[in-house]
Amino acid sequence: MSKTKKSVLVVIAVIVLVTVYVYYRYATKVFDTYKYEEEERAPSMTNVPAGSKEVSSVIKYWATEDKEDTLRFVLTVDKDGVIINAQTLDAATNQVPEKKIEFNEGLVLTLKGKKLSELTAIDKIGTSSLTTKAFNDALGDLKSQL
Amino acid sequence: MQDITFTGLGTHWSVMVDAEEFSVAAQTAVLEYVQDFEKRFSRFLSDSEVNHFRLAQAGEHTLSPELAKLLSRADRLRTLTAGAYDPAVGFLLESAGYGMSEAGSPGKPEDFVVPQWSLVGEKLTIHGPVAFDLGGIGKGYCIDQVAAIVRDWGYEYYLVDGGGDMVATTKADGSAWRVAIEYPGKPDMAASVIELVQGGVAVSDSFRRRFGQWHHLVNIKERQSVTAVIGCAAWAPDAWSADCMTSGLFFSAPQEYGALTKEFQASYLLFQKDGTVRVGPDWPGILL
Repeated sequence: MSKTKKSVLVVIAVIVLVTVYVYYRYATKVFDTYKYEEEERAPSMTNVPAGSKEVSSVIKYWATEDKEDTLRFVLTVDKDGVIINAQTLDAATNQVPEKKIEFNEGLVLTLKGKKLSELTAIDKIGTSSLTTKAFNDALGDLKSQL
Repeated sequence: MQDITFTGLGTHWSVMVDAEEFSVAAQTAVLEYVQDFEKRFSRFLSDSEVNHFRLAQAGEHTLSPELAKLLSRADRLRTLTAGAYDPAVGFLLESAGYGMSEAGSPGKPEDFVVPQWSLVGEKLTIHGPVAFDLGGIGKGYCIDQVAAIVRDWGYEYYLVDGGGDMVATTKADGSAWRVAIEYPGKPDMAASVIELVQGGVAVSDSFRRRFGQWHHLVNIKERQSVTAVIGCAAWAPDAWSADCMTSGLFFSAPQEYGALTKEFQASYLLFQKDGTVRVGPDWPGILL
């Protein structure tokens, strides 16, 4: 075996040993912690309807300049994947936090939307108001200036 | 269910009462109020109260109680948005092409200087000419006043819809009004459905009321229309608070949404230009 090949084998052996050490020293603890958090995840305050499921996510934020807090966002999703409830809970107590209203960033989602024609028994549609008559008048004036 | 529909403040209105009849006298009172409100507070009418200051000298001016109330709320919103929202935006809107330019308007947006004004009670102090525009807060107030008129005429159960913003009680049988929240920019789509009971809803987006590269939601400090937010919906105890909430959201950074939520006791959906939606705590509707 050449000297170069020997060196390569030594380097590979060192890498394997270091990897095994790091895995047992740190990674298993990370996995344990993750598992612990999953097991400790308490149910939300809602009764989940049959066929629905809850998903939740914990986020940290600075409640004051020197105090970090955690909140849990809980979504209830029906069998078709439609979000039917969204809650914000104190992650530590799983209760609605007293100062929740001051939490300020909201939950960021992607909504697909649904065709209005597919919704039933709708009394009204909340919408941004259409172009005003006054603005239409102004447009006419602007066009006349072109 | 009885209703009346009409045009006012440049948009379509519908007032529904869950009763056997809706008296002509009550309907007339509603129509007269909205007409009067438009006459007094529309920037598009040259002799309206908000246009009294277009050529005014610097100094102190006494306002009517109702204009003082509206400007007081606008002043609060100006504070909450760190000056990004300001009803003194009238001249800037006109210079950008929104509404016919009249006396006092600057020639170009870049020539616009933010007018200085302050309000104590009914005393308005200005440092020079100001054109006020109550867009973003005026209609919600008007909707609540119409609701008060309907109540005064003895109707307990109603929904007042002013161009897609609304306030409602329950229906007579105690059930809610089902209100679909339009997806901004997608007029045939809903983003949410609310069971509206004793509260107000307002919706605003940047797709309507456009003029050239601008739309009507203009950050007065930056002299340009807001681009980070494409639309929002708010739910609050009344239409005025919901209307103010949507305006506040357009002109604020996310870290300020909590203060707005607290101020107006509101919740919200906020549609961002990256296609995501921020859902405020306690949003009362189903998300679609």
